[in-house]
Amino acid sequence: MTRRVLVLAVSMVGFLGLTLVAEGPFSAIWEMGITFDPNGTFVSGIESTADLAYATGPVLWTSYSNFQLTVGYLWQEFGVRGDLGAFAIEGDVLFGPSTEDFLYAQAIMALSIAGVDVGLYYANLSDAVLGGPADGFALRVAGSVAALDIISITEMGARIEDEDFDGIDVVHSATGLYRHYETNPVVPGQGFTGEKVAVGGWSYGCIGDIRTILYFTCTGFDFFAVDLEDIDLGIGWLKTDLLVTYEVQTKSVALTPRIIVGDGLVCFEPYFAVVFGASAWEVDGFELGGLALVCAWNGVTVKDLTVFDPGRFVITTEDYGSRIESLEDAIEDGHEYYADYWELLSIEVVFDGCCGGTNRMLINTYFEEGSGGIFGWGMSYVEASVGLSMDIELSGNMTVSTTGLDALGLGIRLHW
Amino acid sequence: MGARRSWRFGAALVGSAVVVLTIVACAGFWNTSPQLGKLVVGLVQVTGTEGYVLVSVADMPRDGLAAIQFGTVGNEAITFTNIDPASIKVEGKNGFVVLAQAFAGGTGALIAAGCNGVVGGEILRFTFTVTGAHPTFVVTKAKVSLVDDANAFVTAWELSSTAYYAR
Repeated sequence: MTRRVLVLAVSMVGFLGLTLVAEGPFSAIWEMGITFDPNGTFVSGIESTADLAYATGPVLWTSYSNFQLTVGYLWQEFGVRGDLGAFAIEGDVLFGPSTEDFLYAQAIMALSIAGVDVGLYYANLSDAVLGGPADGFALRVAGSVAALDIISITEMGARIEDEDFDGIDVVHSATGLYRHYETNPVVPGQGFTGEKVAVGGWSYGCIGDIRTILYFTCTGFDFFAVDLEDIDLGIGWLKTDLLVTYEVQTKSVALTPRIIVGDGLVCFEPYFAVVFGASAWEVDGFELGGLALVCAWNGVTVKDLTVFDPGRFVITTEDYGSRIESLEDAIEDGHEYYADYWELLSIEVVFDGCCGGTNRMLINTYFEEGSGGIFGWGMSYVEASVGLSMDIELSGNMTVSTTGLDALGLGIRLHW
Repeated sequence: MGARRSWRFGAALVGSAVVVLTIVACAGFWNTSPQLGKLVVGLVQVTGTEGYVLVSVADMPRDGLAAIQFGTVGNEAITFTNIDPASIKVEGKNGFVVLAQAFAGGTGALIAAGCNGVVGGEILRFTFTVTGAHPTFVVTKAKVSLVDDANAFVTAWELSSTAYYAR
């Protein structure tokens, strides 16, 4: 026991000492978490991530490594960010060490000349990823003429993430873990694959923002869209967005009314949904689908989220911000949510610890219908983190539900 | 010396041209085929005696996958080994709900549906107790039916168990 205490003490002093000598262009963050499952396998998960960064002048070189208990060495990503003269450069390369595969690479070079932003994007997806092999590049030119913002994106086998298109996720199929990137090379075709021109940034009359998008591919016209935002209907508490999209054989109209509650409702945020009638053009009314109360004072944050219509709104998990989100958006964006819980009571306390660290305590309590618990209690999640210094943080979390202790986690975070 | 220098310069010039031409030829000129919808069955992950399998979709057509059927009782689409059938629990993800399931004797059938179509992402998570080394969980494509959010059968799709997929 004496030897173990001595080894632990020496290790702690050593880690603290590293933070004191850490200077210069090199920085690192190492996090490790262990999850215990008292109801099954005792240790159900171990995760370790290491973020390294090394600066050489205006260029920052980065490395990201991720280890998982069941998979082993899951991700290894190298990156570069910085400015080379007038050019801003960005690059990423992703490997899957557990399968010894190169997975994805992207390179971005941007330049601003006389108010015009020019960006060249390149990406390569290997055949080790389902969907590959694929590669391509895209040229983005953006500028302003008077009050108009004009963006032109020429696609040569790749697409850039923006308001109209998504980037790419490289997903590990067994665990569901993924890495997200801006340039998507999985675009059908060869050579020239598409051209998108977007003009926006102006308003007219009761319309707050007008934007038009024209997109055609190597096979011809694809779509033309007119996006009108913040249309004032003359009713102070109601505004709407209108999106009209013309495709080759179809035309679609999306009308999104929004209730404006103003700034008078301190701490409250209502979530409304439109109730349509028999046809898409009949609006029967508006439904209050959820209500959020969030108040923060002096390091203490109290939150009460209530979902009245769980078919339209959900509460996202702690990893995704513990907030109310529409079910459709949560699924589309891949945000995890609690399907069974309709209310969350949360209190979070953040305060300064000793030695420059920050301490944090979070208690989330969820309620569900028919749980059998008092007041419909369904689950509680407790998390605490203690900052031993500015560079060392210890954390622990616990999940308790109506079936007992579901999970227990311990973690450590080092920064130097 | 002059000839050697010229040879080196020429070799460097040719080498650079080869590199540039290779990059130009490869970059943006790889013929990428239109993507089929994909049903991805992850490898069995085991921790002690507990295991799980993730089933995901990618590039599903129209507004995404709305329902999936893994065979029927008597014509099951799922076969597994070294897994206790009585311990299998199935959790729907991304809005999917399991409507019916039957696991016994190394085979299984299941029906699940979602209220919102899923174009890409996880739809089901199977958790179970492992009874032996190297458990397997295999899906037979011919016995699986997919329905998209427009209530039409998805006929052009592929089944895969690769380690990685793009969405």
